[in-house]
Amino acid sequence: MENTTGDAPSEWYREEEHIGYDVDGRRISKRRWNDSIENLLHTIDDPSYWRKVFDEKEDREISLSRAHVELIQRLRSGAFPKSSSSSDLKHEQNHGIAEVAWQINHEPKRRFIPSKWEAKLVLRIVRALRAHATPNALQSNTVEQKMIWEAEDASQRSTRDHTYLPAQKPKKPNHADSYNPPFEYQINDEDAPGTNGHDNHATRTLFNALRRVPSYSEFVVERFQRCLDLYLCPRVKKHRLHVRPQDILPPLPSPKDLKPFPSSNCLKFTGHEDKVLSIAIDHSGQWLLSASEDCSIRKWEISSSRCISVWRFRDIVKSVAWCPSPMANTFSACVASDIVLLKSTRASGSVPLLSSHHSVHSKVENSKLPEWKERDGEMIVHLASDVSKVTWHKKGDYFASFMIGGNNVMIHRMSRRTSQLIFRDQKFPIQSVMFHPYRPFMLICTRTCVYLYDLNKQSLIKKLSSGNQTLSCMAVHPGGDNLIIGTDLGRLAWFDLDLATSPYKVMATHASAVKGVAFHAKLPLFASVSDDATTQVFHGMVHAELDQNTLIVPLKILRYTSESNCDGVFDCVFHPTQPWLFTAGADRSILLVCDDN
Amino acid sequence: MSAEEVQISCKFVTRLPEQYRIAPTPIAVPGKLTRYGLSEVINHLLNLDPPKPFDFLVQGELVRTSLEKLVVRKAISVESALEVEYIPAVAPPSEEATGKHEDWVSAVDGSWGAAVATGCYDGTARLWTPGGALMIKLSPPDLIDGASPAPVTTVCLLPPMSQGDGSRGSGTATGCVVVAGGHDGVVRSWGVEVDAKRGVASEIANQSSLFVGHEGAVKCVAAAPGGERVASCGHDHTVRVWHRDAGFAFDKTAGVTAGRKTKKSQAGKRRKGDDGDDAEPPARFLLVFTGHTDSVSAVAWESSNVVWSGGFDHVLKSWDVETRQNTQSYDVPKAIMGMACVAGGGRVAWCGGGDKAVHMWDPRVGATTGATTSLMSHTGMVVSVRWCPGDEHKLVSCSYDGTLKLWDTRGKLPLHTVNAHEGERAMGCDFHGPRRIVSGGTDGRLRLFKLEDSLTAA
Repeated sequence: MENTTGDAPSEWYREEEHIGYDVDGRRISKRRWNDSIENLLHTIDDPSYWRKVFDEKEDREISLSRAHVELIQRLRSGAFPKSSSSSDLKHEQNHGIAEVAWQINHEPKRRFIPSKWEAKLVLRIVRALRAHATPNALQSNTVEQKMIWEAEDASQRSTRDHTYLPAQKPKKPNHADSYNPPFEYQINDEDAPGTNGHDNHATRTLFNALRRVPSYSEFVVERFQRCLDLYLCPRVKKHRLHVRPQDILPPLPSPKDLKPFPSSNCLKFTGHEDKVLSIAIDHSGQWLLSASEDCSIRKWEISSSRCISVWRFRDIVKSVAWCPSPMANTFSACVASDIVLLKSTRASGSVPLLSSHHSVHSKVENSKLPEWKERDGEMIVHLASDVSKVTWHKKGDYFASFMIGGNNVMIHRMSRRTSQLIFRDQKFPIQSVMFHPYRPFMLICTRTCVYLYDLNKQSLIKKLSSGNQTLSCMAVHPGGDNLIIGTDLGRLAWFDLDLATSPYKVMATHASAVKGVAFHAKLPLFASVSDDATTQVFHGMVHAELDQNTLIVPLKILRYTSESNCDGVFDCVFHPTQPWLFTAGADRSILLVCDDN
Repeated sequence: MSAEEVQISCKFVTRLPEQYRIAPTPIAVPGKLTRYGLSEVINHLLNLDPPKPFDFLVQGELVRTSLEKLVVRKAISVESALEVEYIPAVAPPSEEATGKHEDWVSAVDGSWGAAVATGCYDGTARLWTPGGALMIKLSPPDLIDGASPAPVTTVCLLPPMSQGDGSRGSGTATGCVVVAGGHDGVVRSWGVEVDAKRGVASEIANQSSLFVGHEGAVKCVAAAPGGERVASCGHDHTVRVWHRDAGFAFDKTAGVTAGRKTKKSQAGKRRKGDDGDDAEPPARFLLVFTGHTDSVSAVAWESSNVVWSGGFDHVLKSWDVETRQNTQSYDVPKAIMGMACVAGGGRVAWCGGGDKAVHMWDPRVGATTGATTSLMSHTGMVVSVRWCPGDEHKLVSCSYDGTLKLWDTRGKLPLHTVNAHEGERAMGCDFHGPRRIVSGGTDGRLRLFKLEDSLTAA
């Protein structure tokens, strides 16, 4: 033995260049091993490879002799390690060399005689070759037939065979079944036997000792019934799914990644003496208009929540809207049956109306066209019937007026002071009307469905319906291809105008009727307000690529934490550039909701 | 660990006068000492009676936690003596005086020592003595009888020019100029003679002028450090820089006779200095910077040549008045509503966007975007920030929660919180010299608070 490392484990030298030390203390360097391909070739070439053992400690291959192999085989078979033990020796001496030769394995005789079957096979090949057969035919002509369904059948059979369906276990006896139950389990005489679940115990007698219990007469019958149950009842294995509810939800991005969005109350605009019904924000995002049930419109400075001017009317102002043209600086207000177009720079004061004189007989002359009047800077359009709301066309010249629940929409042109009805005869009650952001279309939301009209061709393009629900409000995405609708049951339906006439997504978000929905002009945000005094903010990303679906993520629920009896939020408007939301509620104030840090 | 008390050897240094100095030998103090404990140590060493509170700086940061925590957080080696600088602590501001307005106070300016200017939503600007007495109420000179003036939302004060170069100025040697802007888009200025000793002021006749040009409401006006130029910004997305003499002079008598038609009618306004000449002011007096894409709501001067502006388009821009170019432009995450700049240093503090924080951006650090530091303590929207004159670390901010907060930018917590407008909203704040802060709010009050450090307060 050259290596003098002693008991030191060979792992210690695994990283080293040497394997140990010789007697003089010099390092024994490791043998350079060939690569694996050479090794493989070497094993093929070397007939005695199977007898070679690698000695890790000495770092060399040891070739075992036949005697060694025999020794190992003996050890494995549990025989004496040395064949030269005393009893064997004796035996050997007794039987002589012939005996020993006999014990060496003889080649069997069949190896020395030619095989009949091989001769037959060769004969067949020769015949086939003479017949110029293809090499395939030389193979055995027994083509293995395979059943296509076999594997599956077999697996099914095996599952059917092997699954054990346990029978239902009989009920275990409880305290009430005892021969001497505790007091609270004893059945009183007052208890009607029919009302008790254990009706067989109703007539039971109690025993104060086990030895007094007689033998159970129905024992055999019950066991028999049980056996019948066990082998006659069909059994089915029920697969119970263990799915957590949150696993079924689609993977939505976290609201934290979708900032900015309005999340915390920042400013409160107080001053109105009654419910605020409608709010509007100008294109620059600096002024806010609010219409209230106290018959006034207020103009607010947004950055300071200061009320700049108050215009008083003789009736409830139902809605207010800015003219979208940046130069006009005009807004419209709906009061009784008048549409008032006011300059926002007009000083505070009371605004006279036309409707007060005529409102009595307005219902009669329904088809009468409105009259336009101009009086010191403001314009008044007096309609035949009440008007609820005005929506402006993007360019700020045309506006449409309608009455909630009414049957017709009137389009007015400010520059020419003309008005016209768009339907000759319609029967459905209108809830909301909007112009398409860039196409000459008009969207009319009725109580059951939304109609998309082409105003140029004067034809119906599409009819969207969200099932069996009453619609209440509508907002159009600034991209023009999407639409959200709020319903009286507190649901929001998102429509894609390019897709089907049914909603792309319906969200049951509010507890009561949705009163208003709004899109942000620049950011992928929309919000809804409801009678349940909550405002909900959503992320609604519409992708320009057609292969991606619209992503809708609920972001924030804002609750009115007002001390006053707030019975709802009536309107919501986004700031044109900032991620700010304005909500107008029944608590006589307007809230500005800003994005938080 | 709890049994073993960590001792940190400190070397106390100061820039205070001789009687407040101690020997610069290292002293071992317990590591759990906070500002109060360190202050006790200094008081003990100086034998001060009554004791005076001190503040402590370690590597340019105020000590607000225990020394041990600070050392661990900043990873300072305690093997050598820790150098701790002590400065007198700022005493809580005490209210000095209050001035009453009829309407909301929208802005205050205390940049001139002799008077404090306020703007009010009733459309007037006022001058107050530092004692809180009203000196003069300035109404728009061009007001048509019977009409209600547009609210004033911003005001600034140009101190009197010195004798030599004030020959042409509307502000004469003894007179200051009050500049105010409001919702009607006109920046107005009044020349006011102030007698600081008697606390009275009188409007100088024929000295008021109009700066016409903004097409929307004016959001902010700011006076350049030299007092020569005024910058204004507004809803029309522009920043305009005016020379203080560039406005149309408005003569009361001439205005009444000829200026009735409209505000912009040429007849009503004549340039100061050459009466009767209706020519436009020379272009060198007016610069219009049109780089913003939304309303510009705040403007602040860094030096007499560099002005910063920020607005609802989330961009902070600096403009060079000499070259008339935009020099720097930075994106910020929120809409800017109020801004202030350290003169010379160039550190910009801004607030806004419904944010409850004061953000600071230091161009010397060179971050490409966002605020380098945010100071969070307010519970409402912060609307105004101002730097202390002569102290580049001190900052005052006011918020819609009705409080004023005094900050030292070397620490993250406010030095003091003053509930200046309880239940109402504070709308403007400023320093009036380094020893006074002034604020105005929706309760219609101008409030003046005395600001002293612990040594002078005693």
